[in-house]
Amino acid sequence: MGVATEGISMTANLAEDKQNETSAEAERDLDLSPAKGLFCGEIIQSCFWPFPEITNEQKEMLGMVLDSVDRFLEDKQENFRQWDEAGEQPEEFIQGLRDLGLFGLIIPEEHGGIGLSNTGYSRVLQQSSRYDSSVSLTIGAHSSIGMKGLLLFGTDAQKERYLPRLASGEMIAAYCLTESGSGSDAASIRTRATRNSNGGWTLNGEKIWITNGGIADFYTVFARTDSDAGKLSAFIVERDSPGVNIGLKEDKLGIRSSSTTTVSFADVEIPAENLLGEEGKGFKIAMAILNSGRTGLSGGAVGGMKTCIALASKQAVERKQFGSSIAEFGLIKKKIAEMTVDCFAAESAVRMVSHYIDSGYTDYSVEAAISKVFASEAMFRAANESLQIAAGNGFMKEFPYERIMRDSRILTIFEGTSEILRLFIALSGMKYAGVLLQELKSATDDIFNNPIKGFGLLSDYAGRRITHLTSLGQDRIIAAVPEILRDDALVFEKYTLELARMTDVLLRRHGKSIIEKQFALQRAADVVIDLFVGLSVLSRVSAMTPDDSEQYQQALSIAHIFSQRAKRRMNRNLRAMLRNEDEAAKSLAEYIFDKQSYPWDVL
Amino acid sequence: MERVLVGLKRVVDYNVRVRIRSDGSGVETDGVKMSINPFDEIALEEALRMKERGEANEVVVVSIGGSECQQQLRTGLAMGADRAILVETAESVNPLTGARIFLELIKREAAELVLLGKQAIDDDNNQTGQMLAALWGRPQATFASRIELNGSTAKVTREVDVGLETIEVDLPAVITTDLRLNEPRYVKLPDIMKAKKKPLDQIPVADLAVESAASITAVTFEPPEQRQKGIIVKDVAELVAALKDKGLV
Repeated sequence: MGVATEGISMTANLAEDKQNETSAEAERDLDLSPAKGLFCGEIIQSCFWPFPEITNEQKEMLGMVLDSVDRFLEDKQENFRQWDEAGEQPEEFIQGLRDLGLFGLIIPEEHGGIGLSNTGYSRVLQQSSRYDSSVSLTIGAHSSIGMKGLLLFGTDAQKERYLPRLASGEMIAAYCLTESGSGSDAASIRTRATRNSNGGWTLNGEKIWITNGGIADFYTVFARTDSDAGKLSAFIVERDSPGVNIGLKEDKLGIRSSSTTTVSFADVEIPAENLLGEEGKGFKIAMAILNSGRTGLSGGAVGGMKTCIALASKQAVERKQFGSSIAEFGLIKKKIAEMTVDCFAAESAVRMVSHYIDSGYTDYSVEAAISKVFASEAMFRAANESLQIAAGNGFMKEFPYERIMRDSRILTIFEGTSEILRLFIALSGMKYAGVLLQELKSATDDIFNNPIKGFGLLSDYAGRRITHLTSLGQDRIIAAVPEILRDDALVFEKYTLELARMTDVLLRRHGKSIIEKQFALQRAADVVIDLFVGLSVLSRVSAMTPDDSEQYQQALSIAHIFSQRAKRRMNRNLRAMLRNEDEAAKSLAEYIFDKQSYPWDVL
Repeated sequence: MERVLVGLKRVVDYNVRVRIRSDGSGVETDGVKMSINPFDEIALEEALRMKERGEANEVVVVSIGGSECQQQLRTGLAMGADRAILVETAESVNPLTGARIFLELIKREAAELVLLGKQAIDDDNNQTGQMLAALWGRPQATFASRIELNGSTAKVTREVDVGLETIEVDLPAVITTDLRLNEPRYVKLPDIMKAKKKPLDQIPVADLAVESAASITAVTFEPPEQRQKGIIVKDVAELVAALKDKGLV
C-alpha cells in the first residue's frame, strides 16, 4: 500500500468536487452518506439498520477461502520472523501466494479471479493479517490499490489484456502516487507525461515508497499531463518498458519483508491505450482507488487486533506473579477488555463500510476514512498493550509482540495519515452540512472557495440550521436496539444533535478561517468517529439473536462499554470547543519551532 | 479402476476446544467451526493422488447428514473430487447404519475402492470401515500409512501397535486411512469457484431403503473432570509415601 496519502490538497479540492452537491439532494438512498448525515444532526437509520449480512452460500464459500489461507500461513510463524529480519519474502513464498490464488481475490471470475465482494476481500485480509502484516501488504497493495484503478476505470480492452495475468499473479501490481515532495500533498506531484510523436505519452519522474515496487510488473502511475501545472492523469506502465528503473529495497521499521522501493521513469514510452480513465481525472481516480481500498487495510488491522487479543490473553493466564496469574489483576483485565471492545468496534465499522461499497453507495469516502482512522489507531493500541502485558517477554525478539508493534506503526501513516484524514472527515462533513439547505448552497460553497465573500450570509444560515435541528425529534433509533441498550442508544441520538450544533458553532465562530482551525476540526472528527463507530456497534448487536449465552451477553456489554466511554470522549471534545488552551499550545509550538530545541533545564 | 468412493464426515474442527451444551444433550456445535474429519481428508487426498497417477478415473465424495454437510462436500470438490453425494438424514447415524448406506452407494456407483478415515474425531468409533467390508463381503485394510495399487490388488502398509505390517488385499476393498499416509493439499481459491459447478446429488436416506441399526441413546454428556493441582515430591521415598497416602499403591 503505497505510502501515498490524500492531501491537504484534497481538502482544498472539496469545493471542486461538484458531485457531492448533487448527492446532497439525496434523491435515492445510495447517494446518502451516513457520516455526513451525522453532521446535519441526522442518523439515517436505513444506512445503519439492519446490520449487513451475507448469504449462506457466500458464507460457505468465504469459509473455504479462509480455511485455505489458514492452511497456507499457519505453519509459517518462524518464517515470518526470519523474513522480517532478512527484510524479504523469498520468491518461493510469493509463488505460493500465486498458486493459492491470492492475487485474484477481487478480480471477476471471467478473468480468472474469484470475484470477492469488498466484504469478502476485507475479511480475507483480516485472516492473513492474523499471521503477518507483510503478507497482507503484498496481497493488499496488489488488490486494494495496485490494480484497483484498472478494475474501476479500465476499458474492456485493458481489462481483457491485464486482468487474467493479474489474477494469476503472473503480474503483480503496485500503486505509484507518492513522490519525495508529494506525500500528503498529492497535488504537488511532479512526474510528467507529455504527448509524443507516436501518439502516446513519454513519462518522466520518480515515485518513492512504492509497496510491491520491487516485485511488481504492473504499475498504476499518476503524472501531470502536458505541463507542469497540468492536471493529473493515471497510466498503466509495465515493468519491462525501457526506462523503468527500480530502486533499492528500503530498510524499514516494520512490514520489513514487504517490498518497498522507488520506481523511476526515464523517457518511458506509454502507448496511448494505457491511459487509465479520462485524461485529467487522475486526482479523482487516485482518491477513488484509496477510498475503496481502505477496507482492506482496516480489515487487516482487525486481524492484527485478534492476534494481539489471543496472544495477550494466553500470556496473562499463564504468567504468574505474586503467587497468582496476572490475569487476576484489574489492570490486566482493563487492557484485555479495552482491546476487545476496540476490536469489536473496528470490526463493526469496517463491515459497515464494506457493505456500503458492495451495495453501490456512491459517497462513502468519509465513512471509509473514519473506519481507517479508528481501526488503525485501535490496532496500534492493541499492539502496544499486548506488548505491555507480555512486558519483558514482549520486548524480546524471541516473541512476536515487538514485530506486531513495529508492523502496525505504519497503519496510521500510509494511505492517509490520521491527521489528514481527520481534517478530511471534518471538512467534508461540514461542507455537506452547509449545502443541506438548498438556498444557502452557494453561500456555503463560497466559504470554502472564497471565504470572505461567503461569510456574510452565515448568520442567517446558522439561524435556520438551528431551526432545522430542533425540528428533528429524538427517539429515532432506540426502537431498533435491544431494550437493555436503549440508554446507550440515546447517547448517540443526543450527541448527533450536539455534533450538528457544534458544526454551526464552528462555522459561526471561525468563518473564513475554519480550514485552518485544525484543533477544532480534530475534535469534530473525533466526535463523528465515535458516533459512526458506536452506531455500527449498536446495529451489530441489534442483529444478534438474543439468548442466555455468555457470548451474546458479553456483546451487549461491549456495546454498553463503548457507548458510555464514547459519551465521555464526545462530551470532553464538545466542552473543549468552548474552553481550551489551543492558542497557548500553538504559541508554545511556535516558540519551540523558533529554537528547534528544548530551552529549559533544572540545573 | 473406474471409481473410488471417499467418505467425508462433518465434525467439529480439530482446533476448536470442544464444549458440552449447557443441558448436557451433546457437544455444542452452534457457531462452532466445522470441518472435514481430518482422517477423511487424508483418504480424499490419497484418492486424488490415485486419480492423478491414472489409477482411478473418478473420485466421488460422500457425506451422510443434514444439508449443512454440503459445505464439507464442496470443500472436497474444491480439493479435486469429481462428484459429490449427500445422503440426507436428520437422524444421527451410527457406524452400522453408515456402513449399510455406503453399501447401497457402492452398488449404485459400482465402486471398486472405498477409502474412509480410520475413525472420526468426534465419536472415535473406528467401526464403519470394518463393518462395511463385512457387509460387502470384501477385504479390508485398516490404518493405512502407505497404499500401492497393483492392478487387481492393493499393497497396504498398516500402522499397528508393534510397528508396520504390510498386507496385500484383492480389489474391490475397503481401506481406512491413518494420519501418516499423506499430507492433504490445501484448496486453491480458483478451484473453489470451479467446485460450484461440479455435481452434488442429494439423496434422501429413505430412498436407499436402508434398515436403521438399533441405535444407542446417549443419555447425557459431561465434560471431563478438571485436572487436580499436582504436587512436587523430593525423592522416590516421598513419592511412594504420597501414592500410599492416596491409596494408589
